Amino acid sequence: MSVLDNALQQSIKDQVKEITVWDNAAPTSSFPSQTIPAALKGAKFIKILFNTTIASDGEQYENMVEIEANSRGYFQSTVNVGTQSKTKYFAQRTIRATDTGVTFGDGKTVEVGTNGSTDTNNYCIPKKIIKKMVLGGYRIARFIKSLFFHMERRCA
Amino acid sequence: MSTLDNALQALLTKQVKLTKVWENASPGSAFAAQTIRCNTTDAIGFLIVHTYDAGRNDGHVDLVLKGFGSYLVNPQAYNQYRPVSISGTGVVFLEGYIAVTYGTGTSSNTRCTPTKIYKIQVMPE
Repeated sequence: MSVLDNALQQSIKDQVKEITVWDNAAPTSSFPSQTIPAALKGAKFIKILFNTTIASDGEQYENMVEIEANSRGYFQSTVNVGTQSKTKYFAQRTIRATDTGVTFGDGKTVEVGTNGSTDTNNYCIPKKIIKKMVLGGYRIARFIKSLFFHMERRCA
Repeated sequence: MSTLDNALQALLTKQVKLTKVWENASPGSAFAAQTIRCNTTDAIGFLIVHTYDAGRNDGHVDLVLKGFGSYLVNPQAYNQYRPVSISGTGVVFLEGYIAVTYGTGTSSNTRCTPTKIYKIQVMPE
């Protein structure tokens, strides 16, 4: 069994597992700054899907950002603002992930080539929070081994 | 044993693996253009964790696929970027840049400082 155990450990080690821990029930609505509680302990990375805008406010696209667990980042996308084309504006929102959830800042728009920004929570709407884990191998291999051990005892 | 063997093969085929191959020992320092040597032959690409400025605790993640030139991009008050690609000997980072206005990227090696590199592998069929 030790050959199989070693093979399993090597095969399973570093495998990636992704779990959706939060779905926005209103992904086409304005999204003020807030903290979304979520069990993120054990994650290696946090992946967040965004809608660029609410549906009634310009062209809506899905986009994604990924950050390391327990770190901070930005989501940014080009967007239309009013009748202006999406080559002229960025929309941004800050992200901060901890073991217990994700804190989103206010949505902002920034005109390309200018300083300053405008708060507008109709942009960068989070849709899903996905916990991305990298498996350790040993514990899973031990678990599988114990399953086979119990199966063999039952069949004996 | 063949039942177990088949079950394991089905379980493991095309599984994605992420293995950390490098960590920056000086994440607070400027990062000059350089190649981080690692085995790239069995990778389909790499995930690069980077900070927008050296020593910050943000952790943007960008994907670089083998065979394609790419950029680390880190938006903050300004946009930071750093070209990156995969060679036969490792992950090739060029200089970092800060772009304040359109068309005026200025070299700054504290920008888009890589902190970790993960190799991406897909298990064969």
